[in-house]
Amino acid sequence: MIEQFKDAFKEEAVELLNQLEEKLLELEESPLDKEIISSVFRTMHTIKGSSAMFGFESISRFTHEVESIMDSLREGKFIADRGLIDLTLETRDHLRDLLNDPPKASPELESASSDLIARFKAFTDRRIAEKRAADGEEPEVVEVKAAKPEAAGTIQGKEESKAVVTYRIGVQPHPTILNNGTNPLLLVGELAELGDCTVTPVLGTIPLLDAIDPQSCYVGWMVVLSTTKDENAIRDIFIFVEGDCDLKVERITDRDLIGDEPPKKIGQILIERGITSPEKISEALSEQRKIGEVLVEKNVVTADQVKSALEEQDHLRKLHEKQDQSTSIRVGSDKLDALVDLVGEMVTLQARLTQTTNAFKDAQLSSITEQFERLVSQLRDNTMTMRMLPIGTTFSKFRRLVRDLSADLHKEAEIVTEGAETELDKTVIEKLNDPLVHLIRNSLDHGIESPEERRAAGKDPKGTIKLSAAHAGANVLVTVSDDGAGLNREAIYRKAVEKGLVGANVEIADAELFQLIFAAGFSTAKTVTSVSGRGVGMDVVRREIESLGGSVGIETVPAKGTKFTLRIPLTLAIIEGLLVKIGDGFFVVPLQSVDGCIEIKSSEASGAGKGRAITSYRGDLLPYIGLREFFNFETTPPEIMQIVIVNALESRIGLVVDSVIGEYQTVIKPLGRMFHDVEGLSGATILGDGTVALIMDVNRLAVMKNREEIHTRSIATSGRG
Amino acid sequence: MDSNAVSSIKIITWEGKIGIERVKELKAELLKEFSLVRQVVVSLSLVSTIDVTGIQLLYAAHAFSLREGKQFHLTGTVAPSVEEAFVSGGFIRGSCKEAKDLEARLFEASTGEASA
Repeated sequence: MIEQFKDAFKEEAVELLNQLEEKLLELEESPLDKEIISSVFRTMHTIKGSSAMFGFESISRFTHEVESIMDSLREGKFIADRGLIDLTLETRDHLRDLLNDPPKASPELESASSDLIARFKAFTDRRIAEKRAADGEEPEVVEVKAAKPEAAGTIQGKEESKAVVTYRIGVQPHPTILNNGTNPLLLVGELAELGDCTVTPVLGTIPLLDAIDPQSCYVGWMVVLSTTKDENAIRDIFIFVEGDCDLKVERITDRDLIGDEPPKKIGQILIERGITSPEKISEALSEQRKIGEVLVEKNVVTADQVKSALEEQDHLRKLHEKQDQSTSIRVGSDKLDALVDLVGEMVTLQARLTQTTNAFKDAQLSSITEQFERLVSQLRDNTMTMRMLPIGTTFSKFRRLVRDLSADLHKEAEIVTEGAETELDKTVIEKLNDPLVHLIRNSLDHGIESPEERRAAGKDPKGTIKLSAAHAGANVLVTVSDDGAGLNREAIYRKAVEKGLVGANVEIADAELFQLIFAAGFSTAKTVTSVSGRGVGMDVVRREIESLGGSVGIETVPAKGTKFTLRIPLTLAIIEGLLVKIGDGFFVVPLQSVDGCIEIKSSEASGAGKGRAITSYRGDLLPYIGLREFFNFETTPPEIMQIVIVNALESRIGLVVDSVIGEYQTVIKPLGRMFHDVEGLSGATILGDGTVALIMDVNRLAVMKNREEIHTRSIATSGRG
Repeated sequence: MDSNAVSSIKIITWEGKIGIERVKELKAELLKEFSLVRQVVVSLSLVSTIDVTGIQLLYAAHAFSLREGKQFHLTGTVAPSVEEAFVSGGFIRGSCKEAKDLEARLFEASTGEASA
């Protein structure tokens, strides 16, 4: 058991060390911020305490020494400067090494600990002496303390003694409320911050599509809120929209709620008495008509009103059932991975069940299967949510990278991050690390100019690298941009010609040309540095991002900078696909790429595999690829075939298939090693009946076709020359 | 061959921020597609945010499709920020990552189980 605790300690210590690194970099920016200094001290103190508890003596001894030094810093005996931050960061790295060692560290590490402490002490003694010499001239330490906002929905501190009151709130915005920029969703969201909240929209007045004024607000809300705040706090939220919104706040009498058992239902009592069985009760209930349905049918109430009343009932029931619960527990990631695998299997099995059920045409079985489908879908979503982590966990590492690397390169640069709270699947985040390291190193080495060059160009001598993340539908867009020199088009073109990637005198669009920097061994650097210039790195970026099912885009402006945009799917485990058939094989096209489907006669489509044929689609020319020929299916095609129109690499192409079966939720399975070299496929999946379907990599298909075209153009040009 | 003549399904991909500035144009596109094909599918995969006007438009299109005897569906994946808009407005309860599920929950009958 103690081993389990030790593992937990190590895990927690690694998290603390990561926080420490972040705090130290913040401290470098704001050396007088007492809050940050205290936080650094506290972290050291926590590591010291828990390492002693679990028998990691060397860590405990080492942190004890560092803690004493941090204590001097906290007391203002000296000021944190770059030298101190360097040493403390070194300490942090050393602690990581100690953690990887057994509780009693190796002699080498023990000696490194002593050496580090000695250097630390010498450094701080010197700084303390300097501070004393200059005593009275140092600026006063300013206390920066931000008041922490109260957590949403929690009842803490003084609020604990206040009683929870439940309100029924009717919100009916006027149709014109949106004209002044008000967002009713935000107002309703603010109510949720006051306590436990159940929100029900009232939709009854939304007109049909042909009659709707899309810029008017038709929706209203019924909200049931249990809060310790008073009615004024609720009304305050709507204070700026008083004239644009009807608000009704009523206190619900809930005296019987807390502490009392809800009365038993008749069915429950009959089962307890052994008069009937749960099955009989379920059967009877399924035949019973719901009161809501009856009232709506009699036009006594509207469907919206019934829904709202049900939500209120549900809210009160949940409030009653609410018990003290711990907010979070720590679960090993291997357990989560195992859970995701199981859920994946369950989704496949559920598809099989649905398929089998459809064959039986049994109403009762269909109803059970539908319920099961809904449950599996919710289970899958919840499980996926558990694996989501904020991308900021990766971002924080890069501050250190930029700090250390810019010093090595004698450049000045800072990193700015945005959207650190954006969540991504844990597996995707792990795989994103290397590409981001390469891109940031590349930006620092090739993008950001030296301080002298920047000054000469009228720029701030300190360059900026911006790392940002944002959700875009099923994807996350991660961008790495710099305000450096931008890509050198001429140099890239020359190199591309030299390497035979482009024929001499061949015209090539910027977007196509810049994609060539991702080719293996491609580098325009005149000298090879320890950071970059060998042409390894950018090809890794593309390979890794494509292995995640994503893509990389480049935008560059000479003398202004370069922006790399990584488009990455939120999760690697499950995608929505369009199931299609070619010959006797099943394929899945990722649905997010699909624009539409049109029919084509097989006589027109034949021969399209070897080159791109063209048809028209909504007034535009649409190049298409015959996948029968592409994947070498030799059976006879059906007379009428389908073109699935997909968006790939900023363009639109058609994929000719025999037939489109329909939307299909796909659990992605990796292709075996044997198929690693097969291009145009990104994975496989198992269909409901056990058949394997291959998942198409539409970007790769488009790249292969583009490559063929560039090659054809090069041959044609050289032939003419 | 102009393949438009035989196309019977259109997937409209909504992209970026769906709000008051764009709903007029989106309404027009939906009406146009309903006049051309029997099934209109809106893909939400590339939507980064949606406000109440966008949500209303989905309801309006659904009701319109029922009246016209056409089909209206949602497809793709729902971004967390979009999911948040539907959840905070009470349009759905709990997590919903796929537009197909979102569709089922948005347009389901409003009379549920009452323990009357």
